[in-house]
Amino acid sequence: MKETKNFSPPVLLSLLLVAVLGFLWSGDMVPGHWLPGAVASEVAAEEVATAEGADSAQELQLRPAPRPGREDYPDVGVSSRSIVWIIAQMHLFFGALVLAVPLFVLVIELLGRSTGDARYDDMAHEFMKISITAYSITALFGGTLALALFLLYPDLMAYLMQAFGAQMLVYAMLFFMESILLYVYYYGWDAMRYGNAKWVHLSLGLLLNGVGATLMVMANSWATFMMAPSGVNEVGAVIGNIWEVMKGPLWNPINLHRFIANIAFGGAVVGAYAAYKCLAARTAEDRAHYDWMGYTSNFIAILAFLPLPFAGYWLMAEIYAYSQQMGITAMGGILAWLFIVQAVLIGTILMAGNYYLWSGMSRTEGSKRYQGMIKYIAVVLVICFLIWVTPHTLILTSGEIAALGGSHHHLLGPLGIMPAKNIAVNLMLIFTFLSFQLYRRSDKVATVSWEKAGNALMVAIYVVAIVNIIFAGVYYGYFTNTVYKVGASVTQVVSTLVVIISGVVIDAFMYRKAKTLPSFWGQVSNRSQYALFALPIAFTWLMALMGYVRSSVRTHWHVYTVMKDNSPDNFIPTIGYAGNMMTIVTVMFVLFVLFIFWIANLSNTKQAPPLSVTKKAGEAA
Amino acid sequence: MNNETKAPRGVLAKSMGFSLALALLFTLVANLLPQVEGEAPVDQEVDLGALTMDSYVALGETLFSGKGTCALCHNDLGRAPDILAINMVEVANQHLQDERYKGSATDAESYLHESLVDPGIYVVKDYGKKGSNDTISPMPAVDKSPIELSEIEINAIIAFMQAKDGYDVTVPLPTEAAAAEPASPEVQKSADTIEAVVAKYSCQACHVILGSGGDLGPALQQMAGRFTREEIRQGIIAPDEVIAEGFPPGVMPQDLAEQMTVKELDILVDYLAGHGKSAATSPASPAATHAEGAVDSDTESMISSFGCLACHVMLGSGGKIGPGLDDIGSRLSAEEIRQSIIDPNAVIAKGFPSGVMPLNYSAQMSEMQLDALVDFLWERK
Repeated sequence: MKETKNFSPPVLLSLLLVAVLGFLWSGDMVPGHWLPGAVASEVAAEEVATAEGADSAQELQLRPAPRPGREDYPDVGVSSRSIVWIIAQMHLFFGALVLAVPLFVLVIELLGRSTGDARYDDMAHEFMKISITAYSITALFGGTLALALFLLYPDLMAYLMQAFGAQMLVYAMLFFMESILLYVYYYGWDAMRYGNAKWVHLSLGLLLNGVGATLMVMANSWATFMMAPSGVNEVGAVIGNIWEVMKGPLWNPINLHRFIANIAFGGAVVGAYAAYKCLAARTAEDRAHYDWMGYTSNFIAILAFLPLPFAGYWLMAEIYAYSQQMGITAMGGILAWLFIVQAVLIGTILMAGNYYLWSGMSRTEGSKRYQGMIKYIAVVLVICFLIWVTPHTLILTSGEIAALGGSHHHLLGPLGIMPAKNIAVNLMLIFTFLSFQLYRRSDKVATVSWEKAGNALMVAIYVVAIVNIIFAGVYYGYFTNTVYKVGASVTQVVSTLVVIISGVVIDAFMYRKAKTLPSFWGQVSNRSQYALFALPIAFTWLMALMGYVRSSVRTHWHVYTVMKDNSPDNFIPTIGYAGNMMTIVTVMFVLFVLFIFWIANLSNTKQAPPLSVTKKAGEAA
Repeated sequence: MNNETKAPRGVLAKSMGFSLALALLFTLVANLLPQVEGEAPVDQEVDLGALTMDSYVALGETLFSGKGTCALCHNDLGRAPDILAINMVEVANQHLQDERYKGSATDAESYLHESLVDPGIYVVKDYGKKGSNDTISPMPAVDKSPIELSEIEINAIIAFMQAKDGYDVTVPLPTEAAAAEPASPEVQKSADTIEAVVAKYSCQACHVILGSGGDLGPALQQMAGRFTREEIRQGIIAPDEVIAEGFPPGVMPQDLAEQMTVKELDILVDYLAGHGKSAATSPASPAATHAEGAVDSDTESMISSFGCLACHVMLGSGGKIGPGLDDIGSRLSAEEIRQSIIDPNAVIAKGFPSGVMPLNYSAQMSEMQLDALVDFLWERK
């Protein structure tokens, strides 16, 4: 009965959102000052004179983007940007979580159905328990965000309403549908557990994910429209249809990047849940169960994380293609230093992920075969990490610059540019995959006749890929024109992908009928569980950081090139200020996640009846 | 069998402490890096009365690394030519001699100006957009979004580029009059009849409409059966998307839809689609149509109604298809001006194509109007 309380906020908010958007879309909220004076009054006069709805729609369609002055932004006493920053980030964190969890839950459920192993089904259901509470919080933050945006940035929202029109209503209605599907999927789990009913349940899960993905790409189109507007002319007047407005040059790269990142993020958060439960377990069975759950979550998070940089490459390449100025603002301008923080965060994720895998090898005796390699992998990871965090330009006093002979150190300077970092990142990904491969092999002994040949092929692929990554990075990065530097990264990415794909394929065949060595779930150090806490903290911070970079490349534009940001917050804050904001949202997120974990536990807790009740029951019997 | 033991103590505190410490570590890293704020560009307050060439050059240098965002790409990292390290006047003169150069600049100053406002005219080898074979420049026009430099600011940057290598600065110091030029086109009163719309946007300079007009573009009669309202609207908003057979692209202004009010666009589309009505019951003769308006208006409005500004720059606005008319009086005599109007192909200004200007202006104008126009232009010195 307690869980039914969750039902009301999202559904009510969906209805409210539909009503508010419908009202706003009717045009009643369009402020008069969003046009240059004379045109505004003229359009207003025309609006009065024109009674026919169709003509009004045409007039609206050809209005230029608003040009609000500073006085048009409501002053609420604190920074409007900070308010929206925090609320939007919280909504995005929880939105990512609730969109991602059902994705891998569906896969795990399908796995449970095909293997007949009830543990998968139970684990998938438990993951959904986390997602269901998170959904309510997502809806609450979403509603608050919409309110804050309309209150604090009325002109921008009026313009976005003009550009996207009925699409926003469709979004609200899909949100309503998502709520219904989510609740039926979760609460109907046990009612549709076996036989054909299970297929109905799986279909509901598929539908839920379809609606969720649609919601995500629709919301993404608002963000990418603000970065690279399409379907509008030079002054922002809407001249295209809704599809042309949505399908900007950055839409699909962002869709892919967010889709993958959400899965990695969701896996990391449920991994933290499992780690907490593992550490707090009272029985060996519980510890084993949550150790296994944590391993599965980490597997999901790291597997999704490995291709993420490649989606990032695509996104940045499209940003450069759209506007070189925007690309350089991100990668070589004022925001460039943020990529040093990004390196620290991704380094943390890879180190934590690797450490967890190495610790997990203690679960099986078979891992002794590979433990000797761990120290070499660790050395490579640390060296690559140090290269990645090496800045190109050093922070120096004038005396230090004089002593150094310039702002770039003659040895470390070359390590600060992208070719060196591309080598480091790709090698870190390859060696993380090696850790993963060794872990997966540690409880198995191959029985196929071609084991030696298979291993030799695998080693050869690793060697060729590593040599290729280093050669392409050094040759194209340091000895050719700048134009080829970006091209070299494609070769490197392909090399890394070849290792990952061929590794998965070779192992799938080589260990098909392998002898399995016993694994002892729960037989793992407590320290390894803290690696599972490090992952979501670093992921959350990273998401906040990259979202900030993505948003800040617009500099002083609400909608790049067509609608200027004239608010008091139209500057890019210092990295320190941004970092403080990221920590605030991360800590807030962690606190809310703890609340979710607590709620998830509370639903399993049953109070023992008081003595008087027991006595009465006994008498009645 | 009950294996349950007491729950380990301090798990919540330890996990929270660990998470918080890690988040604070990331914050520390962010706070250790250089702390710079990226201010939104602000228009420089320039005291034109006190402005010297040295301070103008200094303004150019500030704009180069500030509002102009030039230094973002033009630096030693190889994204674009390193302007600070090369002699730009020398480079400009070399590019002017290059056979790939197709622009209209004649000297270093005009080349630099052209490369700022229309960077695609000449793309420096190896610096074109990826895959374009150096035919498309990745550089944005600095007078448009998102940079939006004014003419004074553009000239300041040119002055800086000339002065940094010891050349004489050839751009003039800005005057109060130049600074007073409106930043955005003046919003005019909306035309409310098809005749007024056609006159205001000089459609007849190129098209036959309302019974008269030029032949540079296709005649705009009997369109109702051939095109839908949306196609006609699209033809006005994006004229180069579909080009009528036998007519060149790139001639019709691309920004007509931006200049028009919604009402004006609707009037024009309605008329062309056959839904609208002309204020006149029958097409008036060309001369009569214009005479009525021109008699009551001054010469400036006559210039507007005959569509001169569709191709010529004058009084701070206009197209670039034909030569600018602001100093026409210093280049041509009154008789030459008259001949250029009556028979525009007799003498063609250097750098401009022949056969573009309509040949029927003498038929559209009364003698009185032609005299007034010639006098007005001859006084532009």
